[in-house]
Amino acid sequence: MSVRVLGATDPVMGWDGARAYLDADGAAGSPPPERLDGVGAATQRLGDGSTRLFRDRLGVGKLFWARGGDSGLDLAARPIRLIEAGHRLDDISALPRGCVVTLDAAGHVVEERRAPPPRGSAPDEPESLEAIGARIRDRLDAYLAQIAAAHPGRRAVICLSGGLDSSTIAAVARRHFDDLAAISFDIDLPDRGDSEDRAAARRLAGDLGMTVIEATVSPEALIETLDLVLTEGIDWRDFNVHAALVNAALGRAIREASAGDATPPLVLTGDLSNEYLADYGAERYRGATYYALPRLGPDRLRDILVQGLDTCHREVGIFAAHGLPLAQPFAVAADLYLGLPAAFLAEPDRKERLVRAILGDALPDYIYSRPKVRAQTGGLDIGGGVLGACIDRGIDADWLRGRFAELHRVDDTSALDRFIRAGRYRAAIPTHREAIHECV
Amino acid sequence: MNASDIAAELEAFIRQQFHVAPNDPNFDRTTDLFGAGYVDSVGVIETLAFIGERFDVEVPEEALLSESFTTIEGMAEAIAGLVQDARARPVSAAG
Repeated sequence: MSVRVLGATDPVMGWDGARAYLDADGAAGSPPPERLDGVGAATQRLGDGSTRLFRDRLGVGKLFWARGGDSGLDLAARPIRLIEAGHRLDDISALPRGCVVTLDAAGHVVEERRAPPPRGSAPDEPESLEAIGARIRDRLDAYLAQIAAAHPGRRAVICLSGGLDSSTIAAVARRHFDDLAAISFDIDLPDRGDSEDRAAARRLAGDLGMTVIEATVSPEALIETLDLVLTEGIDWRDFNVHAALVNAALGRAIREASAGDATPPLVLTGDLSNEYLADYGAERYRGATYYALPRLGPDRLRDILVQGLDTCHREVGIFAAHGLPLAQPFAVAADLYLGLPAAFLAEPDRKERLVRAILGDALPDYIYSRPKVRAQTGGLDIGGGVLGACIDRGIDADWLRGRFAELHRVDDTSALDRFIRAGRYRAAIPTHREAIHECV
Repeated sequence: MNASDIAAELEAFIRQQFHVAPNDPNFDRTTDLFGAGYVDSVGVIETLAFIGERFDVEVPEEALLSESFTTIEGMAEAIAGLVQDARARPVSAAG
């Protein structure tokens, strides 16, 4: 049986609870840890002809497979690579998250283990918010320290919106990276200066001693990257596509700014905190509602949003498409966030309180007092943001769905609903039933 | 509780949650809820949450992504099977 890996897998920026697990560990044949968190999905060719596949517990890393014509196995980090190799979307499955599978040279599963997704631990005694915050800070410090140590002298760039999440990562990361810059996104609109996000990011970067790369793009330039975003982000759902468009602009700007560097920078983001704290909401634009969420209580909503990370590639995939490895530090602290009680999730100021518990006075007060503005929507300040740029050009949810189907050579779009449903991929372990049947 | 009872409860939930008109001639227990537009991607999550809370089962991915899990009838059959499996599972002895 042949095993083909089509295209590159995404850089591994994993964590086993105490140590980073990176590409170098995988290349050396070191098995992934029992519990792999962070960004982690890859394949390993082992010396005896066997192949090991793995994926982190949250599913932040992505790995897909399909059976080849000779009953071989094709693997790829993007379904589009498998489509280009002749497979149909209906024949493509994701490796389940948390899985480590070893296949022998004949493609039989010889080892399989599956770690459950991260869950909040129930402490013997209730912890104070300050204690939880301290543990989160220690975890972020430990992870970023090891990431920085594993990449000595390498530049890092934090995607800085001026919001609490990215500001948290910036404040922690600056303790560990000697060369840390910030990048700020803005849409270039006529008769309008910098957005409030841009102003806040610039101010905070100055206060933290970082230079700022400014990625200011026109709506037209933003939309040009749609096909890349749909295929590398593996998604057609509007919120994720809009976020991925922002990241595509950031990725391009980072590469342009680092054109003279020997190696591309590492990218850091403050993603995943919104899922952990169920800090999302629907948005209104020109009288219509977008980004609707399930009508659930905050703890159930949180669970659904975290589960949905399985099918979200709007950060890792997009930056990887620009040759930029991405570390998402909050991904290694899922268990700590998931231990926050349900009642806390119902508090409107939960994020501010938690960040204060994590960082104390390491962030200036003006960051805490800023209203939340998503780059995807931009509120009144930036003319509807990315959402407005798309909707005003007829690029709505149906358009995105149709274009994704077209790019993936799907005629009947119901195939998309068989690929992703309720935020989960069609997922399975690649067994070799056909070969077993032939041998009988 | 058999599949028919489950289907009745599911139908009541879906009619109420997604505002299905009482006299809608296109809606019954064999209607493709997603294809016909009664339940969207957000609604499927709400439906799963209802199933989990009401029947105390978690729908595995294989069932969720199967073709039969698009109608009330198909969902009810799947849920009935999960409920039966859960009852048949031995209860672990206290340690």
